[in-house]
Amino acid sequence: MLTRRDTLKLGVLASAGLMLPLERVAQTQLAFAERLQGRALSAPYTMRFVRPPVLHPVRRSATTDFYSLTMRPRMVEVVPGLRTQIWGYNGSFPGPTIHAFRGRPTVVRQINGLPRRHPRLLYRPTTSVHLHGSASLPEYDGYASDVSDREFFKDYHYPQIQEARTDWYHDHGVHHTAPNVGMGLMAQYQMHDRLERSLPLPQGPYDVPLIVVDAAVAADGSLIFNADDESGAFGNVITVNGRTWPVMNVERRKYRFRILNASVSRSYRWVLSTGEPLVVIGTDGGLMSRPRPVATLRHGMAERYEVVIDFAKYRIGQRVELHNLSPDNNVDFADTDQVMAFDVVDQPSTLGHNRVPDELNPHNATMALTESMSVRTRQFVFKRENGLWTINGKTWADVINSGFTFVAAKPRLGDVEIWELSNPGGGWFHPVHIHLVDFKILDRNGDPPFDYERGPKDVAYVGEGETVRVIARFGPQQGKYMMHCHNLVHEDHDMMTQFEVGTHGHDPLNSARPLPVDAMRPL
Amino acid sequence: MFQQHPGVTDHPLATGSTEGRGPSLLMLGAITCLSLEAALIHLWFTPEHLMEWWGYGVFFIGCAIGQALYGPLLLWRRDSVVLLHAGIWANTGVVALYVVTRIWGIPLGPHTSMVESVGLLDLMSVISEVVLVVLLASLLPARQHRVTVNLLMIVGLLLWALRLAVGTVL
Repeated sequence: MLTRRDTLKLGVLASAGLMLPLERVAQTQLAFAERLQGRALSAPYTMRFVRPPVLHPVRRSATTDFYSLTMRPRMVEVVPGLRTQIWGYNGSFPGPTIHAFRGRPTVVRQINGLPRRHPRLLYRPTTSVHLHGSASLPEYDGYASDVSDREFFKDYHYPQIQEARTDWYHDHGVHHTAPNVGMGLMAQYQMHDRLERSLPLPQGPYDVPLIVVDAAVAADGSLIFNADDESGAFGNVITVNGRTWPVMNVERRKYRFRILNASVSRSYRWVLSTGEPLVVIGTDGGLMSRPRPVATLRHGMAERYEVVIDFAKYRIGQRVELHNLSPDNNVDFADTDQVMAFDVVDQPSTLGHNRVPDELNPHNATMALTESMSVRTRQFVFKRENGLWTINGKTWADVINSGFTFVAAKPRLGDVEIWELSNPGGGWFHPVHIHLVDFKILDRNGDPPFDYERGPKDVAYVGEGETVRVIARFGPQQGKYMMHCHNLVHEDHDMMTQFEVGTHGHDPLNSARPLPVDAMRPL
Repeated sequence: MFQQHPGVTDHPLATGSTEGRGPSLLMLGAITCLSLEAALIHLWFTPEHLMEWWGYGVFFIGCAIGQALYGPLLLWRRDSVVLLHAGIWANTGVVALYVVTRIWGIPLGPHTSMVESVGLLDLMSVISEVVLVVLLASLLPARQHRVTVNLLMIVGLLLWALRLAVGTVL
């Protein structure tokens, strides 16, 4: 028989076995249940809009610009009156914007200066940095398993051979991308070129990055990450450039907004409170052939849309709000239907670069691809199987288990292929990102793509029960590249595979290993 | 038959046994049911883990087979102290590994360091395993019982200590 003393002793083991796992769940659930909401949360449109800082090179050589960034924690004000610990590139949430120019390569040093553990999830934060939208060599593409540990660094080389576009850099570390990005590891990287600069589009202060992220903030200001049984992480506040529901003062003129949805799992459908159209001028891979005015626009995670809003239509003192008509299968809360506001406060200080031309980039090579140029069609099915997020029944674990030799496709360098991306599920959507290439969306369940998708893309929103056909030329680099769902919770739980272009690509894992900071030399 | 220790009057055999020849059929039935429940839950999760990595799959199949066979084995060799210890420490190992994978992450394989989510079924399995350990420990001869209970407490303390060493969640 067990004595009282025995019961107490065995209770120590029993409590560890049951309470420690439950504690983690309870902490997250309790924190989420007690997240700031209602009156405890400031009303939308009380914080001032800010732009992310701009990163300047630490050195410029004759051919190359060199940058340095340190990922580190910092306390910032996301919600008025509260201090929130974020992880940011140079401690900024979102990170600083890099402006790069076509034909001028860059080297970006990324130093992992993160703490020993995630503040809630307790994992050791290893990182890999992906420049999303760049045709980088495999070893600089942020290969998920090519991670930098704490106090390691890696110099990422970017070729700058593509047309002007809004890229972004973000964490891509295997199994921890969602919480790493959720803590703030994301930023814009704008590539410019002569064509873009020659157009009369809004520039300088009228060319504005908007990085939209939803977040759940606890009563003490800390960020909560609740992956809801690996289905997705949704927050109840909407931040734009790190501030909740901000208000931006604008002049009575046109503005170009580079909207990046950097949310972990939330998609949006933008609409203006005035009912005026959003004029879409650019997609993931740069400028469209011509502007496309749309009343609403569905925006999946990692997609970039560049839109022009003309505030000249409004009187001084008028407020225009950007709202979110939430697409299906998002988790909505009070006020997640609101995003930010624009207060028209002044006449324009200049009317230069205040026009949207009828023709933007009519000769984009990706948009010139036709079905007849395709040499092969491949099918990829994105579905949940046996509790796992899979692509054609495989996961990233299969890639790891194969010693990184398994590839889902092997297009030859320069081949044009059609890829059919299918989501047979009805309970979720998958924004599918194909690394390295730009693609053109051919059709969606046999119907033409939406007007706002008629530009070069690298993410395709594959909605519930949809099959999206895309066409791409595989290059310009050779090697292994990833394809995955950009719901980062799905990605972390292995809805990721790889394909190999050509046969002479660099090894993404071992060609340029991260080094300890002790071995760091000036750039 | 369990070894009787001199001077021990409240030997666990006396409470859990039938006519002093080992655990009662009721006790064995409970142990068999609990072990079978844990086995079925491990079996349920085997395909998922087999898809992830053969190593995870083998572990789950191994757990399922071991736990499924444990009850009948104990019925067959109800006087085997070795079998009692095997059940105690194998289940304790599974529970400890469960805690590690839910708090610090998976220790090896392609999902190294990934923290697993906590689900109802896996909690049911852990509850069964913890109760199994308690029941099996109660059947040990007195001296072994005392030492084993102390060692089990140390395992529990180590898990708590590791948790505290990693830091507070909030």
